[in-house]
Amino acid sequence: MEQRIRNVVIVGGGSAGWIAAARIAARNGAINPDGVKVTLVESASIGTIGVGEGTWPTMRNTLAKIGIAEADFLCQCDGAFKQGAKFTGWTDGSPQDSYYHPLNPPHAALQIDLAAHWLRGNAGEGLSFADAVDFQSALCDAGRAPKSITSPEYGGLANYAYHLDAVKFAALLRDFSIAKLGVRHLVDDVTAVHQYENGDISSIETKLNGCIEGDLFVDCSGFAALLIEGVYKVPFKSCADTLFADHALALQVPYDREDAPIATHTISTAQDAGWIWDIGLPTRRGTGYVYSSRHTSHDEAEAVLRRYVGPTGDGLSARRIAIRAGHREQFWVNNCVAVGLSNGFLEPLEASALMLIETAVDFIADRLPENRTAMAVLSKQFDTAFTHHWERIIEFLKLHYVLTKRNDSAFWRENRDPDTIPEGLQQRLELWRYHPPGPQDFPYQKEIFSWPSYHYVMHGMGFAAAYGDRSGTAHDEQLARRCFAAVAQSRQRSVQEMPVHRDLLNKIRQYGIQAV
Amino acid sequence: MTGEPALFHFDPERHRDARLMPGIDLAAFAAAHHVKLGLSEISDAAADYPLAFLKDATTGQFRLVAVLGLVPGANAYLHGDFWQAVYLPQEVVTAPFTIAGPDQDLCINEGSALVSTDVGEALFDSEGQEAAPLLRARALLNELAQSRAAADGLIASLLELALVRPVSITVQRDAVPDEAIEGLYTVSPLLLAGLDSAALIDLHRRDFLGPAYVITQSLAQFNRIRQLHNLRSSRPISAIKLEMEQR
Repeated sequence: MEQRIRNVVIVGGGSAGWIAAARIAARNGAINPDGVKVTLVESASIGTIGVGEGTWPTMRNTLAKIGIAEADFLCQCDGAFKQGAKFTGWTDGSPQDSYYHPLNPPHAALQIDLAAHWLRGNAGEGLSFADAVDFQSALCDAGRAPKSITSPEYGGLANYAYHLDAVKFAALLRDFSIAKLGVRHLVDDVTAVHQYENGDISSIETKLNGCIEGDLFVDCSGFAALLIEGVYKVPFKSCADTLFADHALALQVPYDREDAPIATHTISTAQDAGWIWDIGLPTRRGTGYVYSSRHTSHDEAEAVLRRYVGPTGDGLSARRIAIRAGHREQFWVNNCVAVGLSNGFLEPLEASALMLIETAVDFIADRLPENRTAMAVLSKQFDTAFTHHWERIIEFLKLHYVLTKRNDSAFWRENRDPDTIPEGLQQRLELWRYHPPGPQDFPYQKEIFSWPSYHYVMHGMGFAAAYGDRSGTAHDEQLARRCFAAVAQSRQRSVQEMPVHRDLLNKIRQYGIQAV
Repeated sequence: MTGEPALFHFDPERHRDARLMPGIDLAAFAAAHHVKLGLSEISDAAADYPLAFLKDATTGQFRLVAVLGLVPGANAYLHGDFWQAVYLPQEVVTAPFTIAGPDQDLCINEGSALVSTDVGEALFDSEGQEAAPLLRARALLNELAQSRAAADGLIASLLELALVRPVSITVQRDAVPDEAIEGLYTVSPLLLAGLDSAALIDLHRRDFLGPAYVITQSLAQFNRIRQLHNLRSSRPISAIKLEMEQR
């Protein structure tokens, strides 16, 4: 019988490495003597990047599958609830220019597409798309949490994700994986990689622990890409011609006072040569300027970020991170799969980094190849999926830049140059002038950004849709009016019923969250 | 879930001249949808009411309660001045006094018809010492506080064993859409039966196994609530369906 895959070796210990270790170990019984063995080798000399501080709602599932209690996660990682993103200044840069991309799908999304009805003004004059079709942007505006103290863990009134301290998150996953899931942890440096004749990796050589054998190797070594690039020389496919940002400057700032409100959404504010993220944790705000060094200087970028942050950032030092936008041409070669930054990286405009780690790890952990033959097939599926995911994510991020009407700087003007827009996106945008984005446009089984996300961004940015005048059937018109009325009611009720974000986080520290 | 009377912390200064009329203040519970129970009340209460766990709105912590009605604001057991049950929960008996808050402080419902400054027994004697009705209430509430703490212990054990599950209640009436009632939890009999021997024996030794089964079985009393409701309502309930998430 062919040798089974019983021994998984993970190289690298940031968020990617530890999410992979925890999920693979929990799903495949690493704690049991007859379970799959999971070893994580982490270099003491290479630090983690640790700026991925926004998750997707998928993280709730990931944590539940790992077996971490939600209250423990929130308390130990300085976690907060995230209900979407607010984009300010992206459309025309005017003072009133902002829109929400909430995590809730539009009301009754499976029954009716409300976009055309909203375009016709049937939701009420002056109501934004996000406000018209769902209550979550009202919760964000009011600083209200998506759940209350009586909600069970990982559940709530509104869909939600998290903001977190990435360094503390990796530490929590590490401690939990070692103590509860049976993951073997080695702090060591990889000095050499040994291969079989067929090219598979047989073992890695380490400085202190000698030779570590494995059946499957997960490359979570970040930008170093020790295995996928170091061993297999898989080329990197840049998308810098589409997404211009090549640097981020991160600055963590304290609140003015202990009980300052915590935003329950990521705030993303457009600047001359990029945009600034602003993420509220209970303990501090994380901010950062993502910019194109072709369109501004590092000094100017720092000045812009400091202007945004104000005096609260005085005396605090910012950290510059290079962004190499793009991904591998192949993600799973022989018995080596790349997860995290070694797989690819894009500017954090829609918090895709942690989510892509989860997507990759779901694939690996839930269907860990039984043997080498199965792995050959599964690795092809993985490559197809990730080629598709990257293509569509790049398109979706580019969408934010394409729809802008800003002409005030070269950065924004050049972003609309057709040569920088992926052809698929150009074609779809043409189609979507006449037909709203719908499920038919997203046939992939687990689509990362599906049509509701496109609706929020396109209608948030005033996309010139031509289908607004097309009236629907009488039944549709009636249903739409009922939906808008229901949303109006839930906007009001949810704000009344949901607690203030910081109050809930404080309460969770005191009382925890019930499992049911 | 509302319907609890407005409470005030008992204050010897503020309530120096208060007097208490004899009797039980049933009217204060006309709008009560549930009352909290202590562990020692379980078997008596289960003969009249469905027992369940309900989350405290302020803390999210589970409390053991006797359910009195299906909708906020309606106590199915109270018909005029007659309480249609054999057992009166201690929370009702001790009214207008009660204990509330994190420190289980003595509170008084000033709105109670039994409380006044001119009729009934004085709460303090002429020397300012606590008088009989107040001492009686204190003694009863002391016991109740201990009994509630014991109920909290039961709940903690059941939660630790992951036996507590939500019950979905659907109220069916003729010619109107079904109404769903959320927020009640019980012990899953299936999960309870599936416990390993050690956990089961441990639960038994701590005198929690009996109460756990009684709580589960008491859900049948929702039929009693239906019956009581239909006796005086123009919108009779045709059925109450209970569904439990077992996993």
